[in-house]
Amino acid sequence: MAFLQTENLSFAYPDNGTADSGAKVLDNINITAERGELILICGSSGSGKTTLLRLLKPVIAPFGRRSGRIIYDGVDISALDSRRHELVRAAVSEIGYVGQDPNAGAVTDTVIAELAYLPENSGLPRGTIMRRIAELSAYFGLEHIIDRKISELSAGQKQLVQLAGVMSVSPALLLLDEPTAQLDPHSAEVFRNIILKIRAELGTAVIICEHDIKGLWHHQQWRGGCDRVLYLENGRQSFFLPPAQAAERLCGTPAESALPCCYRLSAAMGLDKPLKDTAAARSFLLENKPAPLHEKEVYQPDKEIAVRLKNIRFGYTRHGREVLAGVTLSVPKGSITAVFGANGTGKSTLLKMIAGVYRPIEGSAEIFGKRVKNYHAAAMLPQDPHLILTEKTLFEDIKRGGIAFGNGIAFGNGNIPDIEGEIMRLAEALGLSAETLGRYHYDVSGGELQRAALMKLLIKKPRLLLLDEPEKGLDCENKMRLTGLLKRFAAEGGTVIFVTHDAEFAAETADSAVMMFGGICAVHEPINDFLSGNELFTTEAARIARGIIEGCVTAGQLIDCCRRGLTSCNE
Amino acid sequence: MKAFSRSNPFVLMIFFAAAVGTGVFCYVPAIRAISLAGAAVSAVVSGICRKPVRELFGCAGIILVSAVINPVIVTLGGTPLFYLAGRPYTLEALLYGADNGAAVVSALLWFRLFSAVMTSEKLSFLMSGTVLSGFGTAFTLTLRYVPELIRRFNECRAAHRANEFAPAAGAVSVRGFLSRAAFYLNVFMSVASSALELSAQTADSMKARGCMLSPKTRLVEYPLRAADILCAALSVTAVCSAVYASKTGRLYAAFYPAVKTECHALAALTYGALCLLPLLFSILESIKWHFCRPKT
Repeated sequence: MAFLQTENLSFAYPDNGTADSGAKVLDNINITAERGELILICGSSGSGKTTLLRLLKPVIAPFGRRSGRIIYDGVDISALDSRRHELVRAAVSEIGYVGQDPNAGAVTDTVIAELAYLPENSGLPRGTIMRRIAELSAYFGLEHIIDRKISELSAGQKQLVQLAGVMSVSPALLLLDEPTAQLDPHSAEVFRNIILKIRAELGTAVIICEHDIKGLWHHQQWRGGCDRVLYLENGRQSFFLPPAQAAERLCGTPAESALPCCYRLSAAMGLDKPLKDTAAARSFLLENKPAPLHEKEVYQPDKEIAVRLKNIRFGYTRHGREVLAGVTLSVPKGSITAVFGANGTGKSTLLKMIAGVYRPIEGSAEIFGKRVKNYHAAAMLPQDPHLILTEKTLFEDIKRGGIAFGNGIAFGNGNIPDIEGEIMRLAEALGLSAETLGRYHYDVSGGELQRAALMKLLIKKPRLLLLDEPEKGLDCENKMRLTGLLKRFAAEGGTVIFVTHDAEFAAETADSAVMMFGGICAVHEPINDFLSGNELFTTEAARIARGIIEGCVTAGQLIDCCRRGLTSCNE
Repeated sequence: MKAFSRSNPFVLMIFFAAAVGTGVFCYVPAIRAISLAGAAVSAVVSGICRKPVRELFGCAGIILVSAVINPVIVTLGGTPLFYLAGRPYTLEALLYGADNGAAVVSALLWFRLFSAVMTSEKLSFLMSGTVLSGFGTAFTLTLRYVPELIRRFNECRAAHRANEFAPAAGAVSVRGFLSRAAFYLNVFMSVASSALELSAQTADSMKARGCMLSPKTRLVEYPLRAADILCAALSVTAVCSAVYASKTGRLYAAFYPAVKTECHALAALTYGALCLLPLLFSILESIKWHFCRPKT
């Protein structure tokens, strides 16, 4: 018998009269996991990933109707949910769980107390706890922050501390619910490497939900990434297969864009054996001589300038570091600009400066030829869309955004005529149902939340849209939807500036890219030139095509060039 | 101050209760002066005052304000210094104001020292194994949530401010007290709802990590050292002698109509020794460092 096995597992939340209650969230799930295996669960938002993970840990299992069995180490997991103390203790210690929000997981206020929390509760001897903490802080590289307060840590560090805290009792099974969704790419990579290292070196079984599946699909260093992929579609098990076969199944579906570029290329070219990494894909390209880019898209900016920043200087404290140290930037009207840069280089501050939240200490900021101080024409979506949503339902929130906002700002005539009709038209364009708009903003999926918050901004018909990491935590379908929405907005004359860490998303969405470094805009050029010129901050497709297909930065372009190359060879 | 902060949490609790309680409830100027001096010296040597001269001037300012304002309100006292709008401005009321100001400032300084020394770990230690253990966890969570809520509030305010003017053509800004109030109410609502959501997730995290299990282990133990016993004994002695002296009428103060005060020597001495304990710990620590440092 497998270490963990689910048999016809189904689950429904209790029927409380709402539209979706009583319906099955999970339907007939059959998976197995052995010790030391890594199972990757993927699927669109709201497909039941979190519910499945929580059912595997009895003490936090959701309340509702469950059928089928979960067998953990030869025991039905419902036994661990009993009132027998030693079983509950086993359920707590042997099955570790790390959630999505790094700010919500911590219970104590210092790192060392957080690491000690679970072993203290488990009643381990003091000497054992100290030994585990010493080991873990070295293993996770936490020595330098061991006495720090949790509130002083970055999101990546908080998430690592959460993981280390769970590992302090040596769990046999680790359940991770989108642990990297709120992290920047570097922290996410560090976290994924640690997970793979734990799996490889400690033999812990890991079940992880992820939207960004590229990092775990295949990994050269740690035993080749995940062992099997469970794909959920509306609570149903679409497939449970090894990555190579799973990639074949995903190709041609909307979820394809989530796959690593080399897998997409192998599937598109009909290769029997998938190309496992960039080097293999490059070898394939060199052997098969792909055609050059069909027609290099030349970015032709509008002559009217939407945003003009001249030598902007700004710092949060008088004697502290200057976050913006002489930023000069011109963004044309109707363009989509992606702002890249490492953490702390002033990307979000730049957006807030354009939005008029901060005033420059030196320099000038203009929007459509007018000083930002006197003319605020921008709408800004923060990293966390919850920040701008306050009402009981999304509909009320959006309506409020249209009539008045925050400071009692009213439109010229005080109102938008037929605002409800306008909301419904916009909702239809964004793919949001009336039922979703009737929900509270904490009760919708990440993609729905993002679109609703955008609606709240778009209903005001802003000329300039500022977005702070809008792709964070979105699945590939919602990313594609967002790309389409932003392109439509720009085509209608709107200007978009968005901060991002996701080169793939920027390659699909933006016209030009800005690279922030040391508080200045170090680079500002068309997105294709930018991504082709970079060696590290670029897309997987650009890395594969470097020096072989000039200007190729997206998987779509790469596949197109290869297909045309193959066709011309055959001819 | 490290040596003092390593003391047993129960002993520290007794020390602060004795130092603050005697200083606040004993109206005798000499006792309040001792409390003020002890608190100020302890605050300076502990390093909690980052700019000691500036902060001590600030404390002096509070005492001065209290002294100057009290005679304006209270006209009791037999020694009028001058008349303000026909009301006597008396010396006794001035001294009473200064005395109360000193009590407030010394209490503030003791509490600052308390918050620096009594970490959440020590408070949890104090409350663990008692009916208050849940309160200890709640207290620790609160300590963690406060900076989190401040961060969230600032983020939320910036997000709302970034969008408050987002207009259609011809937007007009309505500024004023009511608009500001509505703006901050919105921000507050957003922060409050996110705090509730966050707390539900934290509760899950606590359950997932066995908060309901028992018996628990305490990672940090605070053994009772000789210095702790001395500190506890001195605290008890100081309080007892102050209570005894007050009951026997040898520790009292009256400000109206004339200032009359008596201070019992033993009570003052023991309380003075108690207030200087943090300084004593600090001096002993410095001596040890001096002799332990490798000689080159």
